[in-house]
Amino acid sequence: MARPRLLHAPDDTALLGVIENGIPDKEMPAHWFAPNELRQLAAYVRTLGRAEQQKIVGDPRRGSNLYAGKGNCSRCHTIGGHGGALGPDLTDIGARRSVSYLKESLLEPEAAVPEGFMQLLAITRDGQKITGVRVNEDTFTVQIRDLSDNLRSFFRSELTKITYESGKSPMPSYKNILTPAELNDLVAYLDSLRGDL
Amino acid sequence: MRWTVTYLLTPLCLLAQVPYERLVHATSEPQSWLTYSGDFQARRYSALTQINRENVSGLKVLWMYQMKTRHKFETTPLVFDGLMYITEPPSDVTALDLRTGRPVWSFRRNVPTVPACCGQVNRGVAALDDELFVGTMDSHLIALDMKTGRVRWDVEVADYKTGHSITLAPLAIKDKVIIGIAGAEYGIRGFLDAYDAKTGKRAWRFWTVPGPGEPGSETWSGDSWKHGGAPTWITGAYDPEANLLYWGTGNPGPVYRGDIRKGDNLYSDCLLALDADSGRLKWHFQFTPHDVNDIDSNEIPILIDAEFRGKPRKLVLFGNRNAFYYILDRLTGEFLLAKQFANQTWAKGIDEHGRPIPNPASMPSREGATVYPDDDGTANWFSPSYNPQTGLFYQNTREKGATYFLTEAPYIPGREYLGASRRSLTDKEPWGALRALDALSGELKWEFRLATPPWSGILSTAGGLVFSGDMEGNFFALDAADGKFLWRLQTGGPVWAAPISYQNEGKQYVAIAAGSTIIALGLQ
Repeated sequence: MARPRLLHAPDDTALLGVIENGIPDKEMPAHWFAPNELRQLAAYVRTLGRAEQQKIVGDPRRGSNLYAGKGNCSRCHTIGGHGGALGPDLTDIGARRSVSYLKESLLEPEAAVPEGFMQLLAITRDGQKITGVRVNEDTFTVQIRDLSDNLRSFFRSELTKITYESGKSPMPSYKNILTPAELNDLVAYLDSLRGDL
Repeated sequence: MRWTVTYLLTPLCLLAQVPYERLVHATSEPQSWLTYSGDFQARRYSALTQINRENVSGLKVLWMYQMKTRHKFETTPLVFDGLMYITEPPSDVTALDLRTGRPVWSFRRNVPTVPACCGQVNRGVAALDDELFVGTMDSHLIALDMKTGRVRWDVEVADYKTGHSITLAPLAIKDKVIIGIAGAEYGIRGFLDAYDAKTGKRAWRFWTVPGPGEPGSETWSGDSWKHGGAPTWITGAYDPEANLLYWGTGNPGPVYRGDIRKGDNLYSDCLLALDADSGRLKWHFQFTPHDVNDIDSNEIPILIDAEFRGKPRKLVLFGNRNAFYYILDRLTGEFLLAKQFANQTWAKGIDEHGRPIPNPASMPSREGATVYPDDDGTANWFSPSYNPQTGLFYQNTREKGATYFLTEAPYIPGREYLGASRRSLTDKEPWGALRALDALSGELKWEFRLATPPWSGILSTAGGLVFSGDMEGNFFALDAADGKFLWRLQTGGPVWAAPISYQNEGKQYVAIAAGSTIIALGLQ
């Protein structure tokens, strides 16, 4: 939220609405506040946007090349509808996440796994082990995107066991894959991704 | 085609009469579904056996009816004499031909935007003689001609602009229509009303928050009673022999700020036993005195007669939102048993008199306090079921906690009157279960795990079945004796409603509202 312009709250009226009602289909829930508390909270959120922005030291153009090449990020992530489906969409990640968050995600992917993201290990009746990310599940079925980006659908009766690996992520740490300079370039590129803004 | 419709409907219209005696003896008429919970005892139990554990795997969709709005579909249909009567949110009523699912008439009401915590919903109608009764989001009670859906009378129960709304199905008894009210999240003062079924004139009102000088008023500090909540927004039960109504009440207001309303806050979070003729209080039992966790008692009481601890007794069973299952003597209100049936942290236990021992660590605070269950509760308005064949009480159960941070709570008419902000727990995924409890001990006999916390009610049948649904659109049947999975249908929409069963032209059916659809199922 430490940004001059918030994606879902470009003005104060919208910000009050976002706090009171949440953002449909996103992680932001509705919150209950008395009117004066709501105004105070919104005012505080606005001060965050006036804070000095973290300096971007990398080169986003080089970062773009790393994203597609050495980083192999597009295997699991999409930008503008292109790429893999295993990981979160990054089309507007620069508008949603801070520079420090992006850097931490690259160095320690399991430090802050997005809410609702769940890695599963499913074992079928014939002994197959499938690790992947939960796409959907209900009382009787589960749909998994495996690490090869294939969608797998199971009735629970076809499985002997499902292990929920909460807090786990299939994303590797880039600590030993990218140099510190390359890391800064990739962060700069991710920060430049603002979606429709 | 026109000939067929005429042929069908003419005799049905002549038969569309539901005298009070028919409601009293609903249990001997299992082909119909005459009240919200199926009978005055509120068992949500069908004595029909054609669909049973041996053949339920062959259950098929026979027809579907799509409602006209996109609100949550929480209706329990009434079924009798060849027609099904449903409510469509926010406050419409439609009569459907049982053979085909085709609409016969609809009553449509333009409803203004009403402050309501939990959706523009309606859970069903009541029937008496040749009338149907529906409560509306804008807090009116309306009588409709059963044949045509045309309005006989329309009375204002309360002012919707101050947060009053009606979402429950009324209960018709003798010559009266009983209707409750919602709006504790908006600082209403709760009540339960009775209206003359023929004229719409109010017969009595029981204030669930006593006024100054009335018994129970000493349980409210200052003038906090004025916005004390204690709503009555789910349909209760009735014992014709004792002439007593049994009705649950909801949370006090403001919801989380106990310091604003010191005391036990009667009659919030209670089960009330009221004389049906006068509305006078016979007894009350408060499950959660001075509630600061929004654990209403707007659940459905179930009345059974049974031998309890060696003595024949008239009992009331109650699966409470506070995670305890209760048994009371329904003639005296005597506390007989409380048994925890789900995870909870708000109480350290229940004492010998049935009074909970609060856990201060779970009370909302400025720093934030985590509590199980969250404000949606362990149980809620969704119907339980009692099956006399198995002696089991079936209860859908939510396993979900949250953290609450105290906030200010100024009373502003029509605005939420809460006093806390909620944060979901991100480290534990919530889940649910359909649990079968021994009705006389509360012991867990079996459970069927659900992927997420449910909102669906439960039907049990003499065919050895339990029907229910989940929020991912599954409507399913289990063996009533051991919980074994037997059948399911993916309906495509969340199941917010409770199932019913009925018989038409010699065949048994099951019906459920799911997503935006009423679905009728049977064996082909």
